[in-house]
Amino acid sequence: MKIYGSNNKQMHQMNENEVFLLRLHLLIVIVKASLKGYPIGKFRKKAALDIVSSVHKLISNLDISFLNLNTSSHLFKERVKLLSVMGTAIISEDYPLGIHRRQAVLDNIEMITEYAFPQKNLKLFHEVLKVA
Amino acid sequence: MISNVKILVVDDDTLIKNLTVTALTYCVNREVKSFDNAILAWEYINQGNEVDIVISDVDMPDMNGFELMSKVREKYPEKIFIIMSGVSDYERRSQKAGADAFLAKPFEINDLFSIVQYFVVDRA
Repeated sequence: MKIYGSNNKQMHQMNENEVFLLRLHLLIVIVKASLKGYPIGKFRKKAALDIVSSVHKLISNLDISFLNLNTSSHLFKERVKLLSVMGTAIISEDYPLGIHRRQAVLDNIEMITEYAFPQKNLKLFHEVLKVA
Repeated sequence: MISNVKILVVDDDTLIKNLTVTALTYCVNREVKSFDNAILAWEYINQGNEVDIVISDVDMPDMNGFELMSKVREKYPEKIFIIMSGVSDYERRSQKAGADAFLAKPFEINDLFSIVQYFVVDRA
């Protein structure tokens, strides 16, 4: 039997904060994958837009003190909102993405990752993402 | 690789269920079906709807995840069944009951991608 997830001693029911972080993690993966040109089919696009929208809604009223940020909560929230706007534009493919915009997206992702996921590897699963 | 894979998620916790469905939908670029009730999930499977992989929580009212797995194993042994739970005792029980995998809560997005990588891309 394959085993995934937390190790046995750290198991517990997931709370709203953990679920928000998973959504934020997925949003970062989605935006990075889009920038790298992985295919985005019909269902993938719908799921991506759902994540973007939910992160944007959730972050406004979320108490993020659990993150113990070494930056202002307001700034962090604005960065996440900005990423969701960037994500919508990239996923919808309705707007041009020049070199400076691309760099701004990557910079924003880097900052959010540094604050919210300092210890985590937000890797892209090439074999999964390349199939759509 | 399982082409056009059909995944079914069963969890009465709407937050977890919706997140899992969205993440898996993104991974496989296919519709992912879900239920918050194991009885409804079993009816869906037993009506002959195509399902390749079932990912089910354990503690749910009316029918738990192990009961659902037992029914699925008896009639459709070829289906991949993954138990997910935040209760550590269920890991060993899942192994004994013949689950293909155990997804321990809290899990990460990477775990869902790893499941798709193993059961959808690599294994089949």
